[in-house]
Amino acid sequence: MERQEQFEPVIVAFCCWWCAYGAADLAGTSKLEYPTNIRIVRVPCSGRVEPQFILRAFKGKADGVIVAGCLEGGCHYVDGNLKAKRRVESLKKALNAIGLSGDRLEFYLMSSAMSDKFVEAMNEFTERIKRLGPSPLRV
Amino acid sequence: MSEPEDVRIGVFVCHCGLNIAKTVDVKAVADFASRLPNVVYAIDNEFTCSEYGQNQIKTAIRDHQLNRVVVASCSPKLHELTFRRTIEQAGLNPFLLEMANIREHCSWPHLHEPQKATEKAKSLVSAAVERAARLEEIGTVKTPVKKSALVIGGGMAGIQSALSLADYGFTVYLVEKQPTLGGKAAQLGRVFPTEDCGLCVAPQRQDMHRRCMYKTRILTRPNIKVFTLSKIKSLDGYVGNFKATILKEPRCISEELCVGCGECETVCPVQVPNEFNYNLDKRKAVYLPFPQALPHTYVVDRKNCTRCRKCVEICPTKAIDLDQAPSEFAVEVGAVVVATGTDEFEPIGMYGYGKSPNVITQSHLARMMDPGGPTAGDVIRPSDDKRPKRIAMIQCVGSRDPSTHLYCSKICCMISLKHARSLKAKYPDVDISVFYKDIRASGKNYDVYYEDCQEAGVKFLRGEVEKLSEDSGTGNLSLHFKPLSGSPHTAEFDLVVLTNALIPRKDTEELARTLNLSLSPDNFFAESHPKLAPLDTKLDGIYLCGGCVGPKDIPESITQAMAVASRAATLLAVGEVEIDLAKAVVDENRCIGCGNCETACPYHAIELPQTGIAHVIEVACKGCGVCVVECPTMAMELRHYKNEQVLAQIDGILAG
Repeated sequence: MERQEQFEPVIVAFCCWWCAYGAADLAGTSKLEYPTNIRIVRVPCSGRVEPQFILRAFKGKADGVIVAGCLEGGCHYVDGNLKAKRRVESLKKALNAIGLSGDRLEFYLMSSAMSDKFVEAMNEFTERIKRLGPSPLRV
Repeated sequence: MSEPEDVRIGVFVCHCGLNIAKTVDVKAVADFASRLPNVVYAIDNEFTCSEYGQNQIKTAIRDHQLNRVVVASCSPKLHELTFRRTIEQAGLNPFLLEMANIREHCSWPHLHEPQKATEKAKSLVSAAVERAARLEEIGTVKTPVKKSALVIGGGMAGIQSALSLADYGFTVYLVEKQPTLGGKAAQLGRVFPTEDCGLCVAPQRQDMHRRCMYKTRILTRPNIKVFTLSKIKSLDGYVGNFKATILKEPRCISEELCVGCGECETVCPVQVPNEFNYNLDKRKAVYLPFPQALPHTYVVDRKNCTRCRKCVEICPTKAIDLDQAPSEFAVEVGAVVVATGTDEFEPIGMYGYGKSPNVITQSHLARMMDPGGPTAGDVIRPSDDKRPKRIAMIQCVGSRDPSTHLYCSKICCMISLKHARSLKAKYPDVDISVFYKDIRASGKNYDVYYEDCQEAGVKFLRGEVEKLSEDSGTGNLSLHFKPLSGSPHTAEFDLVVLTNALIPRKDTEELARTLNLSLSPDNFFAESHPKLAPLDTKLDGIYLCGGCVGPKDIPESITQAMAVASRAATLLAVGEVEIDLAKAVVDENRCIGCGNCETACPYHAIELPQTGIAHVIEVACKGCGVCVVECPTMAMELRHYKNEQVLAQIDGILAG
C-alpha cells in the first residue's frame, strides 16, 4: 500500500484547442490546483486524436490518457467531439481486451468556461490511475 | 520516426515576473533545454513578450542561425500571434514557432509544488522542442470576396441589417420564412422604451425622419432582394464565396400582379383561427396577415384552401395561381447574417394555461391592447368578453426554472411593466398584481416604468404562485400565493396573464445543420466568443445578431443588427481574405478514393472528383483534422498537426 501512495503516474491529456485547452487555461488563471501528473498536448479538435496517439502515449510509458473535448453540441467543428467520444469508447474496449485496462483511458466533455469541471476531471482521473497502479507496460 | 536535419532550435524560458519564476526554476528549465537535441541556444528572460524579450529572440535568430523557436511562457492563446510576428520579422516563417505553456498549465495550478512544477515544465519544454524540430513552413493564400450578403430572417434585426448593408452599397438577399416581413415586432403594438410602434426603424442617410419599416423602401431598393415564404435549403462554400440555395414556398398569388384589393378575401368561404392575433379572431384561407403587411400581397393558406376557385375567378388582375409550384433560387454571397429571432414558450399545463380560457400570455394581451388589433384596443376576458377588473401577471413562466429553461428571458419584466402601466392609464380602476421573483428593469429609461407602475398602484408580490384554480361558474381564477416572507394567502382574479419565456426557434437545429453552426447549451446559436466576438460564429463569414443568440429587446437587436452589418462589411469591403494553409492535405500516391474523408468533413471541404483522389478545398477547410483520423491509408495529413509532429510531442513529454 505504501508503495502505491508514492506512485506518481504520468498522464497525457489531449485537449482540444477551443474548449478543454481553454478550460485548463482558466483553471490556471483562477489558480485552481490539480495534480502535476497531468501533461497537456494541444490538438485542434478532440476529433483529431488518432488511436495511434493514445497507443503511442501508452507505449511511451504513460499510465493514463485523457481525451478532452467540447460539450455535446458545443464543438467548434460541429461534431468532432462526438467522433472522438465514439473512438475512445471503442479503444477502451480494445484496451480491456489486450489486458491494459480501459479505465486507463477516459473521455471528458467541457466548455472553455468550465475550469471547475476540468479540475474535477483531472483529480478524479489521477486518483483512479493511482489506484490502478503503474501501467503494465512500465513495470 | 525520422530525425530532422539541419534543425537549429532556440529556447526562451520566460519568468513572467514572478508568475512563473516564483514556482518554476526557470534557470534549471533553460539549462535542461540547452541539452536537448537540436537546441543550439537556450536562455531565460524576465518578460519574453516585452519589446526587449522579443528583440532577444530576433537577435538570437540572426546570431545563432536559429530556424525554429520555442517560447516557454504563458498560454499560446495569449501570445502565439505575438511571437509568430516576432520570428516573422526576423525572417522565419511564423509557423516555425512552438510554445510550451508553463504558466497557465504549470506554475499557476501547481504553485504549492515548485519542485514537481519544475519537472513538469521540463517535460513540456522537451515536448515543444521535439515538436518544433518537425515543424514546417506554412504559406498563405488570398481569395476574392463576393460583394453581397445573405440575411436570414426578416424581423427587426434582419430588416435593419439588410438596410445597413444596402447602405454600404452591397447587394443583399433577405430571406423570410413567413409571408410578410416584420417578425415578432409586428405583433407587439407599442413597445418600450419609446412607446411607439415596434416596426419603427432607423432613418437613413441624410433623411433624418423616423420611418416605419413600410417606408424604408426595403422592397424597392435596387440592391435588396426580398424572398418571403422562403428558407435556406443549402449553403456551400466558404468565407467570401458562399453559394446558397433558397427554397420559396408557393404564395399562389403573384407579387407582381396583386394590387392588394382584397376581393379574393371577400369571396373566400373558409374561416380559420388567425394566428397573427393569437386566434382571437378568424381569417380567411386567402388573406393578408395584417393590414400593414409587407409585401402588401395576399397569400393562399394552402393547408386550409378548399380549392373552390372563387378567388381565382374574382381576382381583377388574374394574380392567383393555386397550382403554383415551389421555386428555388441560387445566390452567391460573401457573407451570411443569421437573424432568425426567437419563439415564444408555450406554457401548456402551467397555471391552467390551455385549460382555463382566462389564463392567457402577454402576447395575447398585447394583441388586445393594440388599437389596430382584433378588439380595437379593448381588453376583454376570453370566457365572457367582459372587461377584467382584477388582473394577475405571473413572471418567469418558463424562465429561471430548472424544469423548463434556466436562463432569464430578459425582456419579460419590461413587457409586464409596459402592459401594467398602459392598462392603469387606460382603466384607472383596474386592479393589477404582479407575482415575481425579481424585477429586472435595467435598461436606459426602463426603470421609470417600474416607478410609474408603483405610483399607479400596481401591486408587486414577491414569491411563488403555488396553485391556480378556476371557478367553473364564473371563470374566475384563484391564485394560492406563497410570499417570500409572511404567510401564504389566496386571491381571486378575473384574468391571469402569464409572462412566458423566449426560447430558441424550433427550426434552430435544422438551420444550424444547414449552415454548420454550433449551438449553445441552451440551444440558441453560439457566438464565437460572448465578450470578444459576440456577432461572429465559429465559421468565418457567417455572423449572428438579435434574438437567435439569446433573448433581446428591440433596442439591443437593432444595435446588434447595425453592428453586424459593419462586421460583415469589414469582410466585404476589403474584397479579399488571406488564410493560412494549416489545412488538410492529401498524399495523392496513398489515396485510394474511399471517400471516408469526404463523409467525415463537416465543412464539405473535401471533394472526390472523377480522378478518384480526394481533393481538399483549402479555403473551406477549417483544420479540425477529423478526416485525417478517418483515412485508412494515412494519405490525409493536417499541416501543423501532422502525425509525426504530434507523436514527437508525445515522445518528448514522456522522455526522461
